[in-house]
Amino acid sequence: MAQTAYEPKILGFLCNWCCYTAADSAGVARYQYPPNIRVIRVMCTGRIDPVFLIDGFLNGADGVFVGGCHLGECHYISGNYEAQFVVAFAHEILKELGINPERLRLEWASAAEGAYFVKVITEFTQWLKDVGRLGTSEKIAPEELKLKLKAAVMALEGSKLRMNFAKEAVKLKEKRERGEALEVAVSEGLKNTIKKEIAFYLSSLYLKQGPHSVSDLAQKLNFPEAEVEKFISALSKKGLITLQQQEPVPIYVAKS
Amino acid sequence: MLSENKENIIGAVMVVGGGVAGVQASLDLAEMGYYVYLLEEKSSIGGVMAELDKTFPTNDCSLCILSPKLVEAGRHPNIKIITQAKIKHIEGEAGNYKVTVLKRPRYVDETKCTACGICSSYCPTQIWDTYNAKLCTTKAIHIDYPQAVPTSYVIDPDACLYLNKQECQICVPTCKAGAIDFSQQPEEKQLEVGAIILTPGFSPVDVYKRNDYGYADFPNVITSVEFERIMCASGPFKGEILRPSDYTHPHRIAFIQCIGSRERQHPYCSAVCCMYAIKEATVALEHSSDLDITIFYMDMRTQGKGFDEFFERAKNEYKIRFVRSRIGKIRETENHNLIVTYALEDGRRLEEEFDMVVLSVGMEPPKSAGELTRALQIGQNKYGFCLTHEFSPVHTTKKGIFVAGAFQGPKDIPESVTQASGAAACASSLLFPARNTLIAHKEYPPEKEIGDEPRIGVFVCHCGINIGGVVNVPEVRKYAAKLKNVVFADENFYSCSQDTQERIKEMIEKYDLNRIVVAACTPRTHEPLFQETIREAGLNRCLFEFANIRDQCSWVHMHEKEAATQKAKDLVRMAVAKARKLQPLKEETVKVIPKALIIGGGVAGMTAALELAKQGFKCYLVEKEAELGGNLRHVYYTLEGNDPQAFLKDLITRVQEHPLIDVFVNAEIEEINGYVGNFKTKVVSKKGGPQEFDHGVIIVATGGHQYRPDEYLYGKDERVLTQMELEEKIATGKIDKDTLKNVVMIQCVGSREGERPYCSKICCSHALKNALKIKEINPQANVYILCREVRAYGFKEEFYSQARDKGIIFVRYSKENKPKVEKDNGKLRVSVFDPILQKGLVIEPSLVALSVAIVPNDVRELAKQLKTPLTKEGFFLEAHVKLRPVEAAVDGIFYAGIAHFPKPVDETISQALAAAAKATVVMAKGEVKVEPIVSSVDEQRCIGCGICEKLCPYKAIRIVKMGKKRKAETISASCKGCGVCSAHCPQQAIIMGRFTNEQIRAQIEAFGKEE
Repeated sequence: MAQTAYEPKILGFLCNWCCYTAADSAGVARYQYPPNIRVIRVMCTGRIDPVFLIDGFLNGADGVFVGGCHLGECHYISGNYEAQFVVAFAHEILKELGINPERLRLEWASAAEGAYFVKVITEFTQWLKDVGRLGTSEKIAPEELKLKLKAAVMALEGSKLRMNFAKEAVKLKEKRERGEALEVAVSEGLKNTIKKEIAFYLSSLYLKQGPHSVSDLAQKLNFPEAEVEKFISALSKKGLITLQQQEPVPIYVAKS
Repeated sequence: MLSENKENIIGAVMVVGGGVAGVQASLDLAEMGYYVYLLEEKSSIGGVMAELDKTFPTNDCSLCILSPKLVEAGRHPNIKIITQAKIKHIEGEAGNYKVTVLKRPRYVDETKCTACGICSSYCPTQIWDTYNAKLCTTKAIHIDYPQAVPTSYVIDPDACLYLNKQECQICVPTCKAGAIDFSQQPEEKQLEVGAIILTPGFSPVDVYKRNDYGYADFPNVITSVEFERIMCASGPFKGEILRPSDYTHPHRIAFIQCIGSRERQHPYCSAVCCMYAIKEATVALEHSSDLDITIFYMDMRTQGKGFDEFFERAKNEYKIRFVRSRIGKIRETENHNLIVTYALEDGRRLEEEFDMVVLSVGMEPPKSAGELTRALQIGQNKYGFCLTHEFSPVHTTKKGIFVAGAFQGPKDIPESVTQASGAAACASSLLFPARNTLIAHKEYPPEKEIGDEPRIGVFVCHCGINIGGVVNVPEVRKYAAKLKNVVFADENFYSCSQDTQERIKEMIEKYDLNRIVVAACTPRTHEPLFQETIREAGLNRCLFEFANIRDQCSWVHMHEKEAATQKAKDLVRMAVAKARKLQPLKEETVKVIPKALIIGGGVAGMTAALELAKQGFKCYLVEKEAELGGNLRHVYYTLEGNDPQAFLKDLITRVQEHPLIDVFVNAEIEEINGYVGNFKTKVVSKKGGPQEFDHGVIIVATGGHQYRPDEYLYGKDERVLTQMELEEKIATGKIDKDTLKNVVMIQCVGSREGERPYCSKICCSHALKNALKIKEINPQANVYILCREVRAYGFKEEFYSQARDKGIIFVRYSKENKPKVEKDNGKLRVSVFDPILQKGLVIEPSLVALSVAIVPNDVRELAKQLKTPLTKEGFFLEAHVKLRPVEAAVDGIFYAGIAHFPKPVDETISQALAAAAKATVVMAKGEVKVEPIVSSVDEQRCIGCGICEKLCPYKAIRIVKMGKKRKAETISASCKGCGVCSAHCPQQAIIMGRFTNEQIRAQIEAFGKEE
């Protein structure tokens, strides 16, 4: 099927002191760039909660852009190092959802680098045009995509995933302060938590859509039945689901 | 003599000259509790910095960083800006001066003018636009530049038809505000002030009169001032680099340095031209990378913080060609190209063709210098700049009159800003008994109770044609009016103008608005203005949101009007979505303990302590060594011929005898806790054991020391000394005439390479000083200075000339081909390649003196405690290179002296005074306002996990016991509002003022959904 020409929607999070200022100075210099980005100003990229990024996609962004100060130049000492990990973490979530992680882009631009900001946004916009609407290049149906993103947002609002993620951010910071060589990467353990948490919330969403058996869910989620059993018991304990029928296999559904 | 009677002291200061130095001094003084009259000769403040396109070494947009300061000065209740004015006469004495001021008529009422510019479009008289270096024209009625403060037009009386021929007056009916007033007459006013600070700046050397290199005849020979305007987006060619003869793009551009500097008429170095030439060259290359730029120079004087790196990048990354040469002459070809004849060091004469030549013009004393110094009866130095003393760099020859900036001597923006604060500190210690006696406090109406239902007002700005020319503003207004909770939507020609402020207030009243959205330029510059306005209307400042539809919309999508209009609508919708969730936040204040901790007992630390103690503030001065004095203890004479030991002795005595200064020697800081206004520090000294005290501010003056070389046989042969060791030997008579008969000095030992890529700034002067001293002791002595460059900047150039006159030989070497020092049969042998003679030189010196690098003392532990960043070389990093040179990024912490960067004693003193000024501002106010963007904790949700405490870069959140549970608690005064804690809180329990999760999620949702 031929790609219909579309205008990508980009949500930007820019820090007040560097990248937002760079964007302003691009204006002062009258540099031109495609009108696809809508910017949310934050004081520091360190403010950016991972849930904001995924929520951006859930709300229709084809690309999300994070712009901060160059490393070492953060107005708040080290907020951009934190942002670097937040973005790495969000990248893992996108991968887990089957979304091209490059749709979330992190760049540094100092207040003086208006021209660089323009270059980056122009390239990103063009890249998003080439790759197509969110979901098309990933070959995920819009409804499915929405459900998955919703599950990810729920996971990111839950304290379990947040705690694991935050602990890892702390570890990374301590490493950095000891001057150890730094690789901003998400650990296997955290990746597992991401997988599990998303699957958990996704199963709750599937159950909202209709009755499922454990093996139905396991198949949809592409997840071991034993794990799904655990989700089911957790959801039951919370009183969120109910057993619709016991035989021949137990079928569950969300409580209305 | 200061008035004995304290009641006679007047708590007001006059600042003469509204450039960046004057504006800084005014702001500091007003914040310290003095009323300020800021006098400016021109029709607006801003000075030279307002004319610059960019500033080195960061290439920051000059006006963008200056403009907020101008606005702040313009609306400060305790700064009265008097434009087009000068001092005619003064009477009285320090503490109580009566100043007669003459103000020329503006013919436009500043309080009425809205700067709409319609008058100018009707005015028939064109004049050269002096703001744009006369490269284009403006009208007889004009504004200097769009962001000018006061934001008011002015009539040029020399050009106006009515004022000269009594005809025209067309501007009068065009002005809807009724601001034009031809009845204005020159006014004489008498003002009473306790002190005066002079910041009249400088004048660029007039190359037209001198016709340097055919400037007056050849259109494509331009000055650096003109080039600056040419490159500027708001300049005559809208930022396109064009040559004046035919408006084509030049390809080959030559810069010629030292125009009107280091020559007969101006025997001093202007200190900034090397850097601005590099800046202009790199910025030009950023405009168009195919430029071929050559800089012809004598010495590259890039001695400031970060400057040498800038120079290296210009060479290596930007591929700018630097040619050490003497320029012969320039002639013009038929197509107005220029042929430059120049001589290289080795004597070769070459010719080269360029499309354009930029003359790097030097600084002269300001045109007003003579008149001003006569009116005030203060001294000028031999070049016409203001006379000061090395050890009191901001004091003029008259008590109560201080000086700062380029009028004191050529200098760059940070040094001018530093001196300005320093001068403010000195004025303050003179007038402190009268502090807060003349200032007004702005009164606000009480804040309104706002109901549950948001009632939002949206104001969409045309910004002249800046927005309205691209974005369909009426359509955006209509769109905004339909959004949920929007009760009123308006469009304004200029939302920032005074009349719109009044309209916003009226509409708040009329429609009972409780949240305001302005869609206009950018919150970075204009949010405070609108917040102030809504506060005046009884709304909390936090009930405001900005939609940036100019800088990030109309200006960047100029050719896509529909898409830009759509984007503006989306941005307004997102802003309204956030506005619905806005809540009033309390502006908290925290009390400040009026005591200071000063770390380091060298000149910087002692100067700062003394200046604070003079104003009645308690100081704790902590020195790690056994005695006070720092590096100056080892300085016995200065290049300028002053006696540092006498100065130091006096300073130490005054510090030790001052009842408000507690000195701790042999002491180290063990622990620092707290935040601005409320620090707690533990000091351990050998004698006294540990001691703990509370204080409100910290001045870091930890200094530096000599690099200990392992090159050039240092430490292996006792005839190889550092300059400091040589100085000590000379001064204490431990060296005889004969030993000084053949001396080789080697510069840049350990500087400008490897780990220390910076220039240590003071070593060239140090070598000149010792070389001249040797010549004084033994006129027959041979002294060779092997150097990469002679950085005798400013007035130090005189001593470089003197040295050459006295036969001191300067031999240049390159980093790649360093001199060699060897020992042969007990004799020292130095070999070096002489680029002038083009052959190797071998000298057998009796002594070798090494000009070694200055390295910062190891402060890594301290920096960690203070939470302040260091540069990679280990110097403290200031909050802003240009405008906040003595402030740390962390509030309440200030830097002075070598801890910040190597510098000579006069600059150290200026900086120490500046640090004292900044500390005074905090302590004099007695409280610090906390921006309501700080974090707060939802105790119900918090589980006390401590993640936030570990991640906070400012130690501004901590875990405390509340009953049986552990909970996080924000220390509002330390919190800067970055939000790292909130983004990582597992419970989402941390609320960021004005940037709550709820608000941001609402913006995200509005991003995705049309209503």
